[in-house]
Amino acid sequence: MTALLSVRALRRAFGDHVVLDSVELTVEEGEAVAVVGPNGSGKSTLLRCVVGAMARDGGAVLLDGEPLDERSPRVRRDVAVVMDDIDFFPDLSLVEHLDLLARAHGADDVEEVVDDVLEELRLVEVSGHLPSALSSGQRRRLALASALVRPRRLLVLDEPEQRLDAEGVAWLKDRLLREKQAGSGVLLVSHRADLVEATCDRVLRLGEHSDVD
Amino acid sequence: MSIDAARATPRGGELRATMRDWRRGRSELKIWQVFEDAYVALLSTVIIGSMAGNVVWGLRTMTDAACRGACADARSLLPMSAALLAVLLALALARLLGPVFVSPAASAWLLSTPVDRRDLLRPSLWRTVAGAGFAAAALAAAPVLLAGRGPAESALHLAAVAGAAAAGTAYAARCQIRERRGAVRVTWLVTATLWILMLAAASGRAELPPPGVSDTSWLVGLAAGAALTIGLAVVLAFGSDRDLALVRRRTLAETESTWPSLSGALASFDLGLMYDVLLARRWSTAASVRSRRGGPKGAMALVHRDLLRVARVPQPWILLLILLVVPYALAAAEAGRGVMLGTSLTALLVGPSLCAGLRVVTRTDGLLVMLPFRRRTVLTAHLLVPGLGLMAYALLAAPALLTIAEPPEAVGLSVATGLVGVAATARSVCARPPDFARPLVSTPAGGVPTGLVANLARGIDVWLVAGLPLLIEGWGVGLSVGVSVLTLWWVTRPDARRESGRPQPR
Repeated sequence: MTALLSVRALRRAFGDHVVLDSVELTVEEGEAVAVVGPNGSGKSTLLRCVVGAMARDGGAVLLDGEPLDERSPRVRRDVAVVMDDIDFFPDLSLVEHLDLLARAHGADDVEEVVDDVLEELRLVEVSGHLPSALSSGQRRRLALASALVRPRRLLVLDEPEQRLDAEGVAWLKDRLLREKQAGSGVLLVSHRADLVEATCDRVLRLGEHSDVD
Repeated sequence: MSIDAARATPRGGELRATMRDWRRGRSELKIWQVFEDAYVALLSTVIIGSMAGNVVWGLRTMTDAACRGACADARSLLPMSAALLAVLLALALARLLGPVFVSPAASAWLLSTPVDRRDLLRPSLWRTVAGAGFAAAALAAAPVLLAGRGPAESALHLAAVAGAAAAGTAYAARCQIRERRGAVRVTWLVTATLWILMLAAASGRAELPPPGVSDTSWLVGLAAGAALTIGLAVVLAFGSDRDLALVRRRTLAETESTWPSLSGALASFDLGLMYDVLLARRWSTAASVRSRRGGPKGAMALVHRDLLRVARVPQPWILLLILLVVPYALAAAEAGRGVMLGTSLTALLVGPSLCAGLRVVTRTDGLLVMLPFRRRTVLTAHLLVPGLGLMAYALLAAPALLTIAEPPEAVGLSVATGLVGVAATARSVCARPPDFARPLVSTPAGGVPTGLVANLARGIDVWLVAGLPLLIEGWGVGLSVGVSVLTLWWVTRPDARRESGRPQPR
């Protein structure tokens, strides 16, 4: 059976410094895989290479057995990405961002989906705020919300627990479990051992001794 | 205790002197050594300045010989229009950037101390007011010279312009300190006056004494006007200076990050980044908006959102409508086919302010990758509303072309003109910033990042290449349309990516 996401012999170097070498990784539907490791071990670089935000020096990334090309509308429909560098329209309110994204993806019951996500992420009170008026934690929640208001088969998350309070992290654990139950694959980078343990089926360790548990 | 504390508090001037001493103690070069190193830049400035001066003088000589009738009437209004435009720019920039401002570092380290804020802020206020005056005079110099006036009259005009711009800046400072909106009203007043003047020029109902007529009463009136504006500038600047002690930190916080951000963008000639900074500044003053939800699905959702933007921020569209007077004023001045160049240039100058959505999806890939469409689809969707607006602007200017073409042909020329405006705007908004990751390009001034110089010409390059053929009858229009369409096709190409250094292995 073809894996939802396959990474084969991925390599990335910055000059002489090889950050990723022969990285192998698969994510099945309904499965969560965590990438862990110390700072500078290449976790975020791996995610960027996977989603096509950064060029690879070698190897392949496949979605449903086909090369993952982030320019393809099909890939963008299937893969929801939350990295640290999300951009915002300065003139659109929080709820307008979500409404626009859901409609662009052709989601059913847009208003209902958006309202549910706002409620779930405790963003209702600031739904009319512009991005410049949001705190960093609220921006992070908005970034997570952007992945949840649209259809998706694979969630790629770079340290999703960042800037979330304890209640937010608890919600995140529950949400990721529900994503798995709904059949979505999850690939996440995290520094929170409790989050990884509670949600992930397998762990890829990067660093001096890269291996898969 | 409080008296001792007051005695112990240093004056702002003393603090500045101390910081100056520290900096001078660390400097490794004398000022003349810096000039020695900068001789290439200085020489280039002098040579380019001389060339520009020669061009303006040559144009004046040609205009003296050729400009008659309606052209001469319009020419007589040139100094006044340039003066109002310079004052308008000074006011707009003053409102946008301060004009009373501190660096983030000074704000964090000095404004929180008991040191008199007036002492700290005074030098930058006076520098800004004086700088606005000089910059306005420099900006108005070429139009005033082209108007063909005598030396005394030109000098008085420039003095009046400098005084008016400095007065506008000082008044904006006063409004900023007192958190009042008077500067907004003055800006609109100057805009309305400029518009009425252009309307008068377009309808041939206004003219000033023709060049070369040394009317003493006119000169005396002009001198009085110059003295009045300079006097007003001095009075307003002293008033603002006196009020500086009242300025609140929150007022300064609104602009303290704008200057460093703009300086950074300017240092890399990144006009797109400057646009982003100004856009962010525009919206940072509003905490929330009345959200509008609903609309179509798919790519049309992007178009619908741009339509909602028109209702949310109508000012650029109103400005575009106001500037409809430009092609008619040019036609009244017998500019002939030059009307099309003026129309497309106006479209280019206003166009980027209509493209907030397009700019955000092209400055980074962050939002683009979240949408389930090809890059070309996203960009085309975001270009649709501003593009149609600019095309409508060009079509509404079609009657101004009736002096050079029959009605059907005038409409065709307007379509070509509109396309030039749309293509130049798209190029201006979507152009890539300088690439600091690539090898430096060798120039006489040293290593320069790839695309640094070309970045200054973004938009203008397409306007020239696509717009100049419009001056040629017959095949010129076809060439212009071809260049515009090709530009739009190139700008929205699907494979333009931020990181383009290496191809992806398969």
